Amino acid sequence: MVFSTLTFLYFFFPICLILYFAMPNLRAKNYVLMGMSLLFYAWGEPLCIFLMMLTAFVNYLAGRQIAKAADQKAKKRWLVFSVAVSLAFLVFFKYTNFLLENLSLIPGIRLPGFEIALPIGISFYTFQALSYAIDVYRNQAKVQHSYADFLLYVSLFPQLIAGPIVRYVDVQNEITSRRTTAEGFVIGITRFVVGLGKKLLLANYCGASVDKLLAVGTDTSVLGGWLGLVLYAFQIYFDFSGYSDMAIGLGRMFGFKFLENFNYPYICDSITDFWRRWHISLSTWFRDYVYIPLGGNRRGKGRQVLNLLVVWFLTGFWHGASWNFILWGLYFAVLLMLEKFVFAGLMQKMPRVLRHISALFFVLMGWALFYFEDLGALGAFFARLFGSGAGTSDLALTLLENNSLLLIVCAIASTPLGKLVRSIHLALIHAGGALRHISMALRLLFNTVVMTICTIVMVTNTYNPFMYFRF
Amino acid sequence: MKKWFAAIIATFLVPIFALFFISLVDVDATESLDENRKLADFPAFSFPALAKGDFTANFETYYSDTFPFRENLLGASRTINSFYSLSFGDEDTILVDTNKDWEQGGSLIDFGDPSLSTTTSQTTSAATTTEPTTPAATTTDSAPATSGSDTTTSETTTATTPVTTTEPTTPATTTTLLTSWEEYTHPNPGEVTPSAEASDTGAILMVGNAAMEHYYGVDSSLEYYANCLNRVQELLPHVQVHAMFCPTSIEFNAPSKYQAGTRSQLRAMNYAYSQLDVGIIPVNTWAKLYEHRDEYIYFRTDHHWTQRGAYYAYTAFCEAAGFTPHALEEYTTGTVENFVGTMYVYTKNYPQSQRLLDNPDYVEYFMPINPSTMTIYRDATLTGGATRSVIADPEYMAGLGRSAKYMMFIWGDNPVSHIVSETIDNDRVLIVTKESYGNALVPYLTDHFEEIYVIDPRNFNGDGEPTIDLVEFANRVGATDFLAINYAFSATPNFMKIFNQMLPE
Repeated sequence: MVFSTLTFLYFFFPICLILYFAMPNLRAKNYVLMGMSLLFYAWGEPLCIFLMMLTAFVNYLAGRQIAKAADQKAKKRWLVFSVAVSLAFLVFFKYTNFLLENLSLIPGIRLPGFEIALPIGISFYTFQALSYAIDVYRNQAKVQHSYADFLLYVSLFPQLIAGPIVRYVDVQNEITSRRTTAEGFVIGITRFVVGLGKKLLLANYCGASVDKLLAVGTDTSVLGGWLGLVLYAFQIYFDFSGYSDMAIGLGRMFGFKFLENFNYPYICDSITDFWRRWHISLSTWFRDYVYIPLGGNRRGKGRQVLNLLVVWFLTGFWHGASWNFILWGLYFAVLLMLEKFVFAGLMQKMPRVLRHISALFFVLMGWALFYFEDLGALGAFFARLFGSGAGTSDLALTLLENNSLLLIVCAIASTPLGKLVRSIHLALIHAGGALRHISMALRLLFNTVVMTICTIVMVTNTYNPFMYFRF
Repeated sequence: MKKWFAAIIATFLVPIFALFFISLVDVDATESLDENRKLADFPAFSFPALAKGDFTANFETYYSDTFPFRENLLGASRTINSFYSLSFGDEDTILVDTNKDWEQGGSLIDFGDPSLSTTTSQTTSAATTTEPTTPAATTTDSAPATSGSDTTTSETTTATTPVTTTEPTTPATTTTLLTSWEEYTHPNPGEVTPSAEASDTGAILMVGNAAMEHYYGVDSSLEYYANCLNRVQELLPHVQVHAMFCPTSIEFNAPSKYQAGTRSQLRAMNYAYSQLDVGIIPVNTWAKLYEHRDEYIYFRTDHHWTQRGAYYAYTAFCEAAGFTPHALEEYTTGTVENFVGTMYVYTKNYPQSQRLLDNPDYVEYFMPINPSTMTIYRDATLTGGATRSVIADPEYMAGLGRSAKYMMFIWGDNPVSHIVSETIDNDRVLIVTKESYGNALVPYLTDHFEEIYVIDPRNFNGDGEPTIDLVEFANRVGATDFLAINYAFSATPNFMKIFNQMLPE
């Protein structure tokens, strides 16, 4: 199920709230939340839900055994078991065909392909479950004795499908003792509404034009290429960060405080900075569970380079079973190393505007790698961006005209203006008196207006005219 | 603060719960008049459907289709979309996601109706009462069909040997008379601007109160179209194949830059016809429509031509195929008011569409001169059909929704319609394949063929659809002539792939 649908917001969500808040105690509430989360997942993946439950069980079991084991060797055995099994599931369901295809490129080897549907959210929940087993092994997380509670953590519907990747340590206390307050609920509402707006009012409308400009066989103009790429960059950001906002907001309504996943990535002034601001839960996961265990930067420059390449290869590969994603990851590894080892001095001397522009340029080029799974099409696209075809086209001009306001709003919404508004809002609340009331009234108005517009858009998206119908 | 928290929570949750409860208890709407479609029913539950994810997906469709106040919310969307569809200047182009998958045409026939196999008397009688030409029909003889008075084109002698499926020698007589298509040059070359960058369609241009689709003719698409017709001629050597490429509104009603380069439908027609095998008769619709471009030959709110536009294409057909067309004045004519068609439906969510709604079209009709009976069948077995008039009763049409009026012509898009003339006796049996552009044209042809079979390929050979083998069908019904009517947007692989499924592998 997806948050930005009528079925979620006006069917699943109210049912979930009624059941949740009707329960007398947290234990019962947790069962409701777990049941609803499983339903939420089964809604889109009626069969693969068992895979998720199995992955959760393997890590739950390993956690208990690691905690119970007397010696380090036994602990390690259980850790290896959980990591191996979890990754085996992930590799099998996500990467089998990619591996077979590429092995078949070797002369003499011919392997058949299989029809394996990618279970929704497998990359996210596998990493969540793994973080638990590893943290228990490292004595950083408490062991969870209840499978139901652990399954609740893995399947918790706000973050189940598209992150943020919540680590067990961050919510372990909230599973068994958390309070839902009116204030927390209000914070959650506004956060959810902001995310819903980003997804439905910005990302979807940007996305509506992306394929028209970028897909092979459509537009071939330089303007169209750049416009499509910028719209795609906005689409990805507002789609993904909007989802994270909704997840964080929903979590908050039920008393969970998830960590932030984005921090205005498009104001970055370097690629290093970009990755501190983009999909934070994923980059910290790779940092803590791959980069640092490999030795990080503590074993000399040569080893650091290797570690960076490994981490960014995996980061790219995590995004999808295709070479362009691997290329995308390694592209960032190269840029990060260049920033670290070669241009560090130069970049300090550059004015911030220039650093910002160059960082955005490289981020945009990265999104081109992300978009084109076919490497031939990617090459043609780069040629197009830098002037191989006509300068403009009717389509590009029309879309630029149609979307001009949207582009401006997206650019503004990518800046920390929202943060500024929020701090003014909080300052006004603290000021008290009439200002507080005005400030809260504006917040209420904001929520209501965005919810109303989003609902209209959700209905419109189902607007599906056929030419005529049979009586 | 607590009051404010309560207020914020209430304004968020009350609408959610209210709409949730209303959706549980309200009576579901079953059809949307605005969108011209049936709304989804509550999905039937089954474990296989659940396991495949179909049940939940269908439930989502059902839930959003029957969402409370859906029509009102849809109405409000136009205000929101004005933000996303800015256009400046006199000519507005907006990009619209038109549904070009050739899902389904529209029909006035209910094939679920158990009484289908019996003749529904009310509609036929309605048709005869509104056809004052019927008595005159006996006076108009069927001569034009066989006389072939036009010296510029073939004598089409195949007409005299119609049902002989075993005689592959007959086509030779026609093919020798024909040469390949000679490029038709624009009569006013000054009107043509040199070139324009081609790109994807899905864009709707509005000029004044008229909306039209941007056209781009891609050579490979046109070749695909031509090759399909070449295959038909090859598979049915004893049948005379005619190709009719129909230009659309933008070719004549938009500023000249919209007819430049690959946007030119004249260029597209010329190119497509140049790819046809010698022997196929191409119909120069463009020239006739251009000549009458100042008349009401295209709707402004719909993508179709008017029946007047179809008339000029019909005269082009007659010229090419050797018939004498009837004069426009010979027909009994009338109008059905208030037609607002697909161009409005597509753009309805955009503020620019208001001027289409405010300026509806009207449907002008021209009743066939000779009486005939049309039987509409659900499949190629030609059993259990429904008998209808070729043009539906104007009074009946006036009572239908504003977007349904074009279905007046041969009752919309039906699998197979068989039209038998009561007076024409020339042994010529025509098969027409068409999408909805053909609907307005077929009635004129009833004055020239003894029998016509009208086939809409979109109703065949898909999932859960009946099958048809065009070659077997043509041999079975003894076809002498074949006419493929394609408007510019269906002379493409999109549509012709569906067409191709009717031909043997």
